[in-house]
Amino acid sequence: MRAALVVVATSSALLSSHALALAAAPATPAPIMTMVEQDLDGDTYPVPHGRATIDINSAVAITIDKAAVAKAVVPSSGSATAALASDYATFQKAVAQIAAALTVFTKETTDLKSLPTAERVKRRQELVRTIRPVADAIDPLLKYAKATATGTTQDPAAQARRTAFLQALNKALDIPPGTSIAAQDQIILQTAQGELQRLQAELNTALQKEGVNLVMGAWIGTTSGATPVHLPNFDDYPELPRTEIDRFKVVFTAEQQQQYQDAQAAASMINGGQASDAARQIVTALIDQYFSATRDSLKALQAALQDLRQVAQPPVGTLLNDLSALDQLLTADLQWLQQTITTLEGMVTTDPSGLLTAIEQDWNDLKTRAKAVEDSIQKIDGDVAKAAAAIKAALVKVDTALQDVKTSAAGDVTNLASAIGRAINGVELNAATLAFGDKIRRFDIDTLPLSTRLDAERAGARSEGDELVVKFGIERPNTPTIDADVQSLIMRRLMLHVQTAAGLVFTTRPRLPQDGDKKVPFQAAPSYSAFLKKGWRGCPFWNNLLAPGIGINVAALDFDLDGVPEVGVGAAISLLRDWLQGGVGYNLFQRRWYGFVGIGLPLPTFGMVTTNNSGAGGAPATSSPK
Amino acid sequence: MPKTTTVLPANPAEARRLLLEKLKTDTVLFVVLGEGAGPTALANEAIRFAGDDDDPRAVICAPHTADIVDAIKGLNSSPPTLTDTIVAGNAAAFTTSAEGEIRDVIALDETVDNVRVLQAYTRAEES
Repeated sequence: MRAALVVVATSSALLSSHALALAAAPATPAPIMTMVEQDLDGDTYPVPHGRATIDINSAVAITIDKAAVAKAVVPSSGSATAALASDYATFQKAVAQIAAALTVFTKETTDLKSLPTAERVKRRQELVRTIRPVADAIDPLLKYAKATATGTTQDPAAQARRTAFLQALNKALDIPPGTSIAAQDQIILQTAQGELQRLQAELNTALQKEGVNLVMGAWIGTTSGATPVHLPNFDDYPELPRTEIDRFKVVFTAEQQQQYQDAQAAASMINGGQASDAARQIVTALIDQYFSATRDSLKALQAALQDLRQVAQPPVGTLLNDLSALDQLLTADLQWLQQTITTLEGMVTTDPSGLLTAIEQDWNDLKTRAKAVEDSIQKIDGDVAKAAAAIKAALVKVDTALQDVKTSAAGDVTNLASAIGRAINGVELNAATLAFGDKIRRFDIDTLPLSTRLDAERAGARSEGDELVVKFGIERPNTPTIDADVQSLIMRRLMLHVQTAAGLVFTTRPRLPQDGDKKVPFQAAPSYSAFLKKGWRGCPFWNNLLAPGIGINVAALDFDLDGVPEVGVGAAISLLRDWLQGGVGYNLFQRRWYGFVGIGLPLPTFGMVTTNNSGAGGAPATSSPK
Repeated sequence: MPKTTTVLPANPAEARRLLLEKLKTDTVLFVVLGEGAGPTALANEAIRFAGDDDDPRAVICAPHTADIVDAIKGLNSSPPTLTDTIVAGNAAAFTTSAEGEIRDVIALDETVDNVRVLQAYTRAEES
């Protein structure tokens, strides 16, 4: 059973007091959310801020730093509210730090008093080290109070706050001599806590006037998209039942069984001398898987071009025929004209009286011929218009098909890149697009819970590489919600676990008489593997790419080539997400040792070695409800 | 139980020796300079915040500042200008860390309240 996780009320104590310098603002704002992962063994790990990797079965304790919230809520400096928020943040951090450090110091001093004198003197000297964190935490508050005297604060309201705090502190510190340091510091802590409550109320009133709401939400991102995940105290989403991803269950999924059968078919082809056919099938499978849209759009382009040819052929043919007819007509007209001119020239000397009649006749012939040419040209005009209209429509279709080819090719390349990226880096949600829905509760700074717990086991269906995103937002009327803090948690199988694989291995096999003088023979064989693996927090290269494993491989061999499968069992290591594996095995039937290698590709159906739980391309990890 | 003040003797060499000895005791020191009503009042305030017997704070009164100036010059100071203030005779008191480093100086013209005395101790106790 998972041990209860104690949530510290604030993370401020973890910060150095130097970060509390009153005047200097930090270059990057302090994170609002601090997270500690607790795995199934109960071990805890601080979660690096921003993007981090956690185990797929872990829970994460989330602590809210109200000081950071206050600074994030009023980001612009110079206003009275900003000064108030800054003071609030100072007190919030200081109080948390003092409380944490003083607990340790007080215990030390109390323990000290119960010791014998000799040991007491020795331990007394160690107190100067225990007291340091207390002093580090208190100094900023004393500096704050004394800022009135030094005049470092210009804002009258801020000045008044400091003066009031100084007076309260001086009054509270009217202590008798002999009061222990721990007691003095307790007085300072109590006075600061009172001031903190007063500042919080004042800040809350100011923010309520501005209509500010504070929200926090969590989402799980899988290959299916993003889904909200319940965060206790922060939303009204239902709590899902706990589902643990099995760590040591050796189960071969239906997809892996299919991969085994594919590998069997490939092995049969390779061993039968049809390696190139097997390779072709793999390439075809690759194209079908990753370039189907491009392939389909290319087919559409081909059809559009055929349409163009068919559509253009009839009107263009008619046009060509008509042009040919016009050509013939014009040639005939030219010949007639030359002949007529020659005849008329002869008549000038031989038959001047008949010339006029001849000219009139020829003129009429000329008009008839011109009309025929005109009709022919008009017909050609019509043909051109018809051909242009038909070709234009077909060309538009060709152009559209071309655009589709470009778009689908770009899409396929992008999808392939995303698939590879998902396989290596996991799912990446665009946090900016995750909206705080109606079921997310709205808080002010008074009512804001200080902690919650995100349980990956209650996040629903998930696979290795899926992402949890937690966002802290600030809502204001009529403005987009500000994501004040975003934490991304990539879920990996970091704890020791078994990962199964099915695929194709190449083994050395003993030489047979029929091999002749060929090189050392090898044999392709389908195989199942089970690897022991462990993740490495803080090393994405290890988790996302290297992913080494050590385990066993069981292959269906046929060393004597009699068609009867022999079982080979071997020790195997895998690298690069099982894309590479190798090892040494023993053929139980033939009683022979052999070496083998497997080259895996992330093929979902015709894979050589493809494992489950391998991110986008892999099958979901086997899981069982608790 | 309230602590008592250690008053440095009138003999300059002895005063210097005692101060240096106290500086080696893994204790934060609040050293009040000068004599008269003002230093006495300040020493009483310092005693009030020196804690109980087990707490690593101690109060030293140095009636004759000149006697220990050389010793003070030999101490580390953070920031370094603190030593100059003391040597120039502008300090009413100063505090040293457990390692014997000067950490804070209360100037003669400062208004000393509870918070200021406590602040002087705290600065000496910081990292």
